[in-house]
Amino acid sequence: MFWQALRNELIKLFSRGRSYIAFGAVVFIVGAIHLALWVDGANFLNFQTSNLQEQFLFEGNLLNGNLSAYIILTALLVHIPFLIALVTGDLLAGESASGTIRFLLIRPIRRSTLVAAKFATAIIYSTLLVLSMALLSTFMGRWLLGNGDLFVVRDTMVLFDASDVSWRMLGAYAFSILGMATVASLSFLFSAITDNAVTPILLTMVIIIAFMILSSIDLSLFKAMKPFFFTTYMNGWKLFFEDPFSWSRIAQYGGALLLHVVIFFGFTQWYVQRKDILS
Amino acid sequence: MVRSAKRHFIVIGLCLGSLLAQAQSFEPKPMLDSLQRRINLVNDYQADVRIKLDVSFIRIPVRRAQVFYKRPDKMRLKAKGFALLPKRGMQFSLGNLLAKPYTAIWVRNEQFQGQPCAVVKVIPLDDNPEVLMATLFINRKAQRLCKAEGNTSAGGAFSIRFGYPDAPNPFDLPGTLEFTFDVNKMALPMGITGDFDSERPSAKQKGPQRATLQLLYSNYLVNKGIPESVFREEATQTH
Repeated sequence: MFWQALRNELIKLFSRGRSYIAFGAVVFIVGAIHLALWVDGANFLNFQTSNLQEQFLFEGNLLNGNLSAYIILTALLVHIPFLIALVTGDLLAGESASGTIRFLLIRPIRRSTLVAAKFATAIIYSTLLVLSMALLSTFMGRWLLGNGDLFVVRDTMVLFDASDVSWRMLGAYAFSILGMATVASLSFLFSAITDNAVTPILLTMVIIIAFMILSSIDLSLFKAMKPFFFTTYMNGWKLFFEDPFSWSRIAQYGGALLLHVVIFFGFTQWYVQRKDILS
Repeated sequence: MVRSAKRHFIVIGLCLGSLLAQAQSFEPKPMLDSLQRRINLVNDYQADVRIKLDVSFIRIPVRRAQVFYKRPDKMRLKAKGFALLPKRGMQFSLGNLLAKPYTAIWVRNEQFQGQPCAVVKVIPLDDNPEVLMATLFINRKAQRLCKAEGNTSAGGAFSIRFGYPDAPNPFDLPGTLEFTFDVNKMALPMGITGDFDSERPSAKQKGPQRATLQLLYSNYLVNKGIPESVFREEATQTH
């Protein structure tokens, strides 16, 4: 029954035009960033590294597909949650708003199975979106800019050998899928609570923006609150680009996200079981 | 009689003092000429080189490269992947420094890393020298350069230590070069990858930090001829 429901949900999801907006946005943004880097990336890098070039001579190729993929990952992972919420926030609330939730739930399918199928649809959608970004930025980057060492500047500047980059990128994308699954679960929860299709999308966006703003302010109160914001752990993909590399920190960040997913999904199930669909 | 003996004693003392002073100082020019003659034995060379950078806020794996040199001043480094090289001191060439008119002053003798060295200051006399002044630590026994410190006209100081392999080394080419220089953490291109949430350097880290870069040479091929095309390629680039 679950697989049938999942199949139906996927057909419904991909028959809607709005489901493709996010993919269109990813194609446009990834394409535009690559094109811009291909045209003007050398000047951009020269300008950005001018201080460093006062002290060092550069030998080799810094601008390459790995750098562009990393830049895209950093830029898009802040905004992809909005694209995900746009679709996953509508999965239950859309049915409520249009009244079709009643037709669905009077059929011989358990509420929990239907919710699980819709939740799986949300996760599949967010996974596909991250995968499309990963494939597009990797292949377009390698094709336009070639392969090379990856140069990451955070608290320290770390250079990863080209042979050491692919597995880190794979890990980062896999972790990003978990991060986006957390966003999908949150918007899915709001989708269950409200009967309006717009509210879950807005609520998800507001929470993510608020958490991100509070995390970026260096006040002790916000610093103390930071471990309780799931957005803190969504940045865990960057741990794949740290030296020394720490599996335990990745497990800690990944565990925190997984816990959020389980809690959001559990609460959604609990709520839908008790939801009055007659009013 | 006693007065005459005293006078003789003072004269002998002065003569001995003068002789001792002359024995301690010496004319550095012959030693530098000998160094230059050895340098001039090398018309060109190529070698494999490993590049190790040690600075607290930059982590780069050991890079492998090939270095090509052709007299008088052609140098090309081809790295496998991306490498950072020190800007100050990388262009230093003792051969070039000694090929032009200069004044050399012996400063002192000093033990440097267990080697008996003469410390010599070399001041170029041409109008626009690249190196304004160099302090050379020259092994007096082996007649080879152990350390060079200097100030460039571009305004930077550099320090290079030279290490030599134990194996027979007819051209006295170094096995290791160790550059020491200051790097400011503020030079890091923060945000180049869009990581604006990364931690900014603390006030302590803002000051210059000591960096060491080692070039470890192996597989020298000396005077085998290197085509000009090797040097025509762009030597340093960001893309």
